[in-house]
Amino acid sequence: MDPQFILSYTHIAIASLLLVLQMVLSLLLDLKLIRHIAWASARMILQLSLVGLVLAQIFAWQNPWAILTLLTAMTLIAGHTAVSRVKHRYPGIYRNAMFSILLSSWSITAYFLAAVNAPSPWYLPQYLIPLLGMILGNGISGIALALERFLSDLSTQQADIEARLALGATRWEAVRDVFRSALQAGMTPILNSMMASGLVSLPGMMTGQILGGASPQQAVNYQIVILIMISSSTAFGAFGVLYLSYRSLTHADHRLLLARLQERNAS
Amino acid sequence: MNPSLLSGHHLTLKMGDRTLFEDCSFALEAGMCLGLSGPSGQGKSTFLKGLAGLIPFASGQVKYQQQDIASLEKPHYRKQVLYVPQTPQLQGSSVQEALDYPLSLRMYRHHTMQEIAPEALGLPANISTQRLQHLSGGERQRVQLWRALRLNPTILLLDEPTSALDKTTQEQVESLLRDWLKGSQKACVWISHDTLQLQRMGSTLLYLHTP
Repeated sequence: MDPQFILSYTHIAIASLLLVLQMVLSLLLDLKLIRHIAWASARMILQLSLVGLVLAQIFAWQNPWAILTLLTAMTLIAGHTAVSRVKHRYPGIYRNAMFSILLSSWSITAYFLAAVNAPSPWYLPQYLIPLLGMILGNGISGIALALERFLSDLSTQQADIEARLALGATRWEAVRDVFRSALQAGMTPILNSMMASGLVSLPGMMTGQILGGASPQQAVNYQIVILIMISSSTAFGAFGVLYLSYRSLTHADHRLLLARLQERNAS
Repeated sequence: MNPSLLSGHHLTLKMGDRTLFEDCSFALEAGMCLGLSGPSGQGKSTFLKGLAGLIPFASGQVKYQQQDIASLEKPHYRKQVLYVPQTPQLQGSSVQEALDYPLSLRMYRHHTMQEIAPEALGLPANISTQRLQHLSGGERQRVQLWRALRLNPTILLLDEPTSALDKTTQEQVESLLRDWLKGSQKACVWISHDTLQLQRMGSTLLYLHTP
């Protein structure tokens, strides 16, 4: 990295003064956010420092098993995080979310490595970990949105869905509309951010690459490919988790199993 | 005695840990209207949903034309034994769309609708062009019933089908359904709080109460 861009602990300490300004604002307006700001900043610093240590170690080892373990942990945490943003629960929701996210993000990453561009060795952690991390981190919100929409629509539109079933609809015909609008809801944020990219914001990865010394053209090329991967992974991951939820909440005998569905606070 | 179209054998229905009723048996023959009465919260609506296969009974058996419905393909069965919910559920944005909704289902792909004039239910002749949001509660109820009749099922499971109607319209609908029951192999189960209405329908009464 260009030495003039290197950040030291002193630099971080100086930047942290801005946190104090936020706290002063909170104090003046009685926002009661001082502890919140302190706690969030402390966690952020601690978590990122830990990640730094782990990454440094993994980069030093270059051991494929250690890398795969880390990628698995990242994926499972992503699945857990996606579900934690959803108000409803049913037995198996965590398993379904983790499985769908695993399948979508890993197959998209595998496609990238196999067909687009693979480093050597293929498991090069400097490449693979940020790649999967971006797919997971940006995919979670779309998947959580789709799932939340699907589960809440199922419970609010139960009477309508049952009426469809009563008319002779198969379970798929009965929930098709709800499924479709949930998938659309899940895809909307990433499509919007693709529309705004470059205009409203310079995506974080591009900024990072440019600071790291990459040419803007290369940074842009990477950003394009990453956004395509994120949106695909969101689409397939959301589809997967919706499909598995649909299978969990309907019976092969074409009826709903909504007794399994509970609101988080009620359970 | 005629073989029954639909029969229940020792049916028990539970809601969570609560038993709504148990050991309920009945037989519904062609031309018959089974009137279902009983206090609110006793599970009358749930009972109809159970007969439609939308909710499983805790124990017991339902037979349609001598066959256990557990072994029947439900969309096919529900096309014959049509449940009409108490709160009308109409899909789409216009009456015509709601009437045509079943045609979007695989089960009705080659189905010809029974022609019934809306006036038979006391609905205006141009009702199908109206938007659903402009319908009154009573109109919605009749549109839902109209759609059910057009689908020409064998058995109608009616959950308070006239609860939102005035006296005159109510009697018009009753008379239409009495005529419908005279058709070949037709029968209905009718939930009503009004036992006089059930008598007018010439129903056999089934009274659900706590075990």
